[in-house]
Amino acid sequence: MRNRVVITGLGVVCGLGKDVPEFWQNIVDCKSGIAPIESIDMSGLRFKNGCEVKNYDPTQHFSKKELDLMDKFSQFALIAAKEAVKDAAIEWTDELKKRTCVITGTCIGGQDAMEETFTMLFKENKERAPLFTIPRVMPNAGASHITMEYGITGIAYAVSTACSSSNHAIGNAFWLVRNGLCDMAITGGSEVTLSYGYLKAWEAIRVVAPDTCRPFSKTRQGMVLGEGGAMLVLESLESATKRGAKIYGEVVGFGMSSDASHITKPNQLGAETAMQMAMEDAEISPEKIDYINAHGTGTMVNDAMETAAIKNVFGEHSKKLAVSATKSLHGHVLGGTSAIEAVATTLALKHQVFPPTANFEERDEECDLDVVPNKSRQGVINYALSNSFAFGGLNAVLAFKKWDRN
Amino acid sequence: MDQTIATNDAVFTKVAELISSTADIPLEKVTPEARFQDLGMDSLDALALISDLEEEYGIKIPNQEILKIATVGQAVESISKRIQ
Repeated sequence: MRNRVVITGLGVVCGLGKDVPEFWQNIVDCKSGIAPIESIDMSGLRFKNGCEVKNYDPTQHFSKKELDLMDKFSQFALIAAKEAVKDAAIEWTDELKKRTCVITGTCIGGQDAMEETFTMLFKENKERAPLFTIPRVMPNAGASHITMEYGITGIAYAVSTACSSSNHAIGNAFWLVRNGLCDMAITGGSEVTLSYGYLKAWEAIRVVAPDTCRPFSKTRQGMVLGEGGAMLVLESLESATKRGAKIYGEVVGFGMSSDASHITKPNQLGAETAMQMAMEDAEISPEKIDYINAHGTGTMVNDAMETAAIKNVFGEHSKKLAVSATKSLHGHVLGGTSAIEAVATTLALKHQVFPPTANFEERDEECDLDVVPNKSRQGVINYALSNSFAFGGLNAVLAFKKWDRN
Repeated sequence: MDQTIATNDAVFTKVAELISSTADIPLEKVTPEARFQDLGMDSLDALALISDLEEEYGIKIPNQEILKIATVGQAVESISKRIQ
């Protein structure tokens, strides 16, 4: 038996908004969160902009003791989870705690905690590393802190597939609920990319824009890194109906593929396969799709490849599709980015609004889709895809449907 | 012998003050018999405290010994015998 899987709670914290209402309002208003990075000294870097969670005060969310044990990526995971759980108005029972899964995505876990420790050891010649380095760094810490917060004893793990991490996480959670292994899931991802050493590593690989993120524009120069996290509460329609939960939308399909070709250069066939598999899993034809939240990083290579892949998969229908890249608004949050985009896509379906591609300048022949440039737009959205194509060639695509009980 | 007692007392005073300030516990409650868990400190808190003390006194307590330290007195003894 297959359960229908509905979305009953959303949470987000990122440079575009510290909660769901602020995040969505900034999408509708096309107000990008990309700005000069303030939390670290950027004088040694070739780029200055990022998408930071501005004025973030962890002590507003956690006690000192909790903060000792939690790196920022875990804090973002838990803040987003708390908003989503509250939004879903979950009343925990022992049975529900056993029947809930927590699947989170992150690319690098507590990289900034590791960097602090390395600085102490190698630069300051300290003899000992901070005791909590290991529990702060481990990529599963976000998932673990969510289980501990609510006493969730069901299936829980973290997924790491670079920029696709949280789409893989949400897809895994979706299948667990659909196949009846769980009644409910808290799933998404989080990432903190803004530490000096990690930014230097991105600088070296030459894909970060010196100005801003302009997906699908002829003038695009690369991606802009962000930080944050997002979580969704997924549950079986039966569970949601039984407790009278409000329903945002439905997850209907999940497709995965691997390029098996190059460690950084994306492969069109891999992207096409993941989109096709998501629609096959949802048992829908490509003509049903109205909106795609693109991977849309703003790099020359990705955006041209993704456009070609969409045109190949959708044929004539690609001319009717709206395809936007919300990374132009919230930055590339790596392992947390797909979860943020899943929230954006869910809200697009709920409000029947196409999120815009911000910072758009000039049309590129190689990116000749309707990219919803610089202004959100009302429209009919029944089905949507959300694409993620990671470094390492690991692709994950989710298919969503507007909520309709029938 | 007297020297040992003096060292133990000095270390106890230092340990008790550190526990009192870091764990926010009234100084008089920190007795040699007190177990860390009774002072509201979990195993990681205790490990953090003893690691700080290792650095403070410039000593190294082996893992198998550090993990067995459950009371304030045991911590004091473990430190004292290494600094005499």
